[in-house]
Amino acid sequence: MEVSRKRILLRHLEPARPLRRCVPASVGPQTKAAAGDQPLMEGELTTVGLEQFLKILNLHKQKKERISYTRDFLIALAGCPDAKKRPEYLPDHPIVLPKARDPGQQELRETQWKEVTEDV
Amino acid sequence: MNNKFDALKDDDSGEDQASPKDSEKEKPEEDDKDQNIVKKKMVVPGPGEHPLQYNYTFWYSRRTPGRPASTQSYEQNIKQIGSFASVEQFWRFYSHMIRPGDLTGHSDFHLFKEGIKPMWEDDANKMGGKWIIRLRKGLASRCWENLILAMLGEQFMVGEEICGAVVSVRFQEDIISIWNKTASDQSTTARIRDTLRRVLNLPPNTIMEYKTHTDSIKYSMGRLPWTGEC
Repeated sequence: MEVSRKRILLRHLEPARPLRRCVPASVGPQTKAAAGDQPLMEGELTTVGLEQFLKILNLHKQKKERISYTRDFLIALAGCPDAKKRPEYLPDHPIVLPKARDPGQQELRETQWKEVTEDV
Repeated sequence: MNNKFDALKDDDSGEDQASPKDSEKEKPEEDDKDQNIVKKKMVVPGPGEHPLQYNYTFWYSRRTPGRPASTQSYEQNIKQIGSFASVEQFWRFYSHMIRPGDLTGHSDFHLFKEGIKPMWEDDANKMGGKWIIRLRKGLASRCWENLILAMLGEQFMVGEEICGAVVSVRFQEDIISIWNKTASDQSTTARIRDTLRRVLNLPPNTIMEYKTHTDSIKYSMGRLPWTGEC
């Protein structure tokens, strides 16, 4: 790294070198103008920065956000009439019941989930 | 000219009418051939229903007595009950199935994410393993319900790692297990174990055992994996 810098500095002194070559060594506004796209990108980052940051944050949130339910919430939904309808596609099978049983009747009693047992 | 045009038009409309029907018909037929392909590929939550993070499929299997179990007969013995995408749809299936505690003989309920077969050989399972908990008779129904409610409600907090859950009814005991993708991921398996302890409310002396599927395949006397069949 150091070696190459020295070489650039030395070359800087040569008159025929194009301005661009000076970029890494020299300082000041001249370099910015010379390195055209770099300062432009910086400008973009500062102006759109906040918006973009929020966007990225949002995307991140969406990815991380999971649809989660507590046991109590799920069990409360078991009591609604929608949960007792017969599924549209249900195979004819010995383990399939002809009519819905009270969902988790025994389990609910054991845990004394009052609101639902009242419904049932 | 007119006739020709009409004929073409008829052809077109005929095709238009026939093709979607055909494709609709073909799918279930294909699926019937191979029972392990999910029947209704994309179940969606009904309007106003509570969506789940993943779609799931209920399966049931029963060992036919007297026959040596192989992968083939295992695949034949496992039957899809149905898939669901919402809490309400889950309860519809669940309330129309007998409880595991009422099952007889050597049988299992499986609840797996849609698209994952409840088999070691499935791509999602082959690097995976399971926590197994042996239960004395009489506990299976309650534990199974607590286990699957925790899974459906995303209580395990291990990203995409959970594959599914099984309750196995055996002669002396019942076994519940939960399968995950990466057996070597210790932070995941530890988190699953801790969540299991919490949601199942197990007696403190309950033994929990983690088994990798490769070990299950190696030491299984019952059935053989796809490859290496004798």
